[in-house]
Amino acid sequence: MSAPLLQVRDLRVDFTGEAGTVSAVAGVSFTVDRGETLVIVGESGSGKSVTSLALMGLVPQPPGRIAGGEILFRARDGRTLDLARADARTMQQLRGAEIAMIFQEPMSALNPVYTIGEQIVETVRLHEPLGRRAARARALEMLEWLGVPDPQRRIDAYPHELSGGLRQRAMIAMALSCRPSLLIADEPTTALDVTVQAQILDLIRRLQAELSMGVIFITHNLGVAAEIADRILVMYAGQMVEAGPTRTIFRQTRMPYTQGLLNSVPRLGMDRDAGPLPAIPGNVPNLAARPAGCAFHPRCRHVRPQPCLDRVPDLEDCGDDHLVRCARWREIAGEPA
Amino acid sequence: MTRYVIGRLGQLVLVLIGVSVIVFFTMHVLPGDVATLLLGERATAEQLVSLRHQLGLDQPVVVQYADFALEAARGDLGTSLRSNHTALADVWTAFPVTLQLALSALLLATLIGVPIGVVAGTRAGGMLDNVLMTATLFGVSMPIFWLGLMLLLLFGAGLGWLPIGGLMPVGLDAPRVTGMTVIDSLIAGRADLIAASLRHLTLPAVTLATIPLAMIARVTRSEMLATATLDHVRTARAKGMTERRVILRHILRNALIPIVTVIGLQLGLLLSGAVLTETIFSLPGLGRLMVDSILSRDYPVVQAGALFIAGVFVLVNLLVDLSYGLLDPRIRRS
Repeated sequence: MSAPLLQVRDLRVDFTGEAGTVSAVAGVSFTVDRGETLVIVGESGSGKSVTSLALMGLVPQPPGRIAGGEILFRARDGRTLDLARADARTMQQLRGAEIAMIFQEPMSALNPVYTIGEQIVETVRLHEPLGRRAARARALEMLEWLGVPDPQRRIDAYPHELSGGLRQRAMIAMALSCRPSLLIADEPTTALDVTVQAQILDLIRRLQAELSMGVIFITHNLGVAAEIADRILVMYAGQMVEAGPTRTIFRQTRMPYTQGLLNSVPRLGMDRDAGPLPAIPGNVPNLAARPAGCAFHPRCRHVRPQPCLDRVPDLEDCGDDHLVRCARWREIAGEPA
Repeated sequence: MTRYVIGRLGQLVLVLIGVSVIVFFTMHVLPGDVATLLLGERATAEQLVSLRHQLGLDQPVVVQYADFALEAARGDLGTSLRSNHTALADVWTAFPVTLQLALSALLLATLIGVPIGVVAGTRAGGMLDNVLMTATLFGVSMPIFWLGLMLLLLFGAGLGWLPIGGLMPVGLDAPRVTGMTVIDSLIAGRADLIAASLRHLTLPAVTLATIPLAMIARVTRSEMLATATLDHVRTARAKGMTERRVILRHILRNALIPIVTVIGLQLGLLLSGAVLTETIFSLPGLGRLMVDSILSRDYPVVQAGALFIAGVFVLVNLLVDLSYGLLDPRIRRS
């Protein structure tokens, strides 16, 4: 078996501020292969976006830096590169060509002063020796492929002249214009209407199959994760707290935090008399004041002084490729939910 | 678009009326009397009365203004009390001198100020940023007459590298076409004229460029910093661009509107306010003309000059506003 497309091992990203150094990402490991979708789930501040920026080599530096770990990426030429240590030039050549990224808010993520055509052409010409006309033809092809209606006209539109859904399609066209092998999507549907959201998810799934890309999809919405994930990785306060195949995560949820996220997703046919949708009390901790022991313990309804406050629980394998970071997962699994 | 321009030109008329009223009445409030200045100390009372009558100065101020406004509406701003040219002709003769000086100063300020701002803005907080920003702080706070005198003493009088004043060496002149010595020399196609005109322009242009240069550099720096944090810059990096390309095409390009605004404002100011520089380097420009005319109570020339400057100011601002549409497509259609 050949090496996976992307293998992240014990990734750490530190940010240094006036209050000292905090780890926004503290030891995250995962693999993604071609054609596979990994969904990273977490609330704001969980470290999921920083993880994705680290893969792109775009952690703002200073104040941030990759403090440890490996990001092994199998490049098109067959070499395996450690992106955590790659130089700026290597990263520039990979970004946009082999690893592409789409962002949450297409209005602000696109440059307002260039047409979408110009922005797609720019990406293509950065990485491929194409002339203006050939690059424009590629851009047109991309827009058509992505189901942008009337692409001949839309290619010369500025971002503000398009609807949110079309803007996100243009953004995806730009990201995929060099046929990357890995796509990182940072909450690409969060800013969109629900119906458009579903279309974009379908689109990403279709494109992934056609290009057999590896996809890392970042979201705070487990409903979205259920739709597209092969594997799910749940992050909390910079740490992995649960990871595994999608079915396992949904059927045998071990980590109380994941359980809380699941309970707070509204579902059709829910009993209205059951009261308001349960929310997880409290907030994601400030990383500079990480709680002692399990970072989730102040918000956990299963908390016990022993062992939850004593030490940071290890990430344990509970079978079936399922990892969980909870000192009491065995006891909790036996308790009634 | 056309309607917008017409509307703005309509505003120009209002501005000109306002400026003419203010200039007219302040000039009349000023102590001092043209007739005395023209005829000298030993003029008789009858001569003074007769000259005042001839000039219309014995009428009430309001009547004088009405007379002036009627004539002005027909394009006649009166005759200079000193030179016997029409007031507008005097202004027209002086304007190219100021225009050449202002444009070359602004060109220098832009060509040096914008790169300084870009370099400082992309290394914010670093050593180079601190050095450059301290230097520009000196630039904005330097009294221009002092700087001009120091440059003149050093490069003109001391080292003798550059002429100490005037537009051209005595006895050497290009045939007047535009009134701008460098351009006229280029038209004449003579290398000696071109060199002489540039040598005369250097010190005044450098002096006048200092403050705008510092302002442009500081605004460019802060706009670069603000734009660099926007999401689309991260997208640009995610596309695999070199940092240089990100800075020029995705940060500087988007930061241009405020930079162009400052450049435009500075042009308006330079065109109307090169008085000190023109005085230090004995250049017969608009600023000098205005000061001399105010001192000699040459009302028509002051009035014509003030209206001219106001008009130029409004037009420059209109051009700046129109340029926004070119710089930002979001503004274009509204």
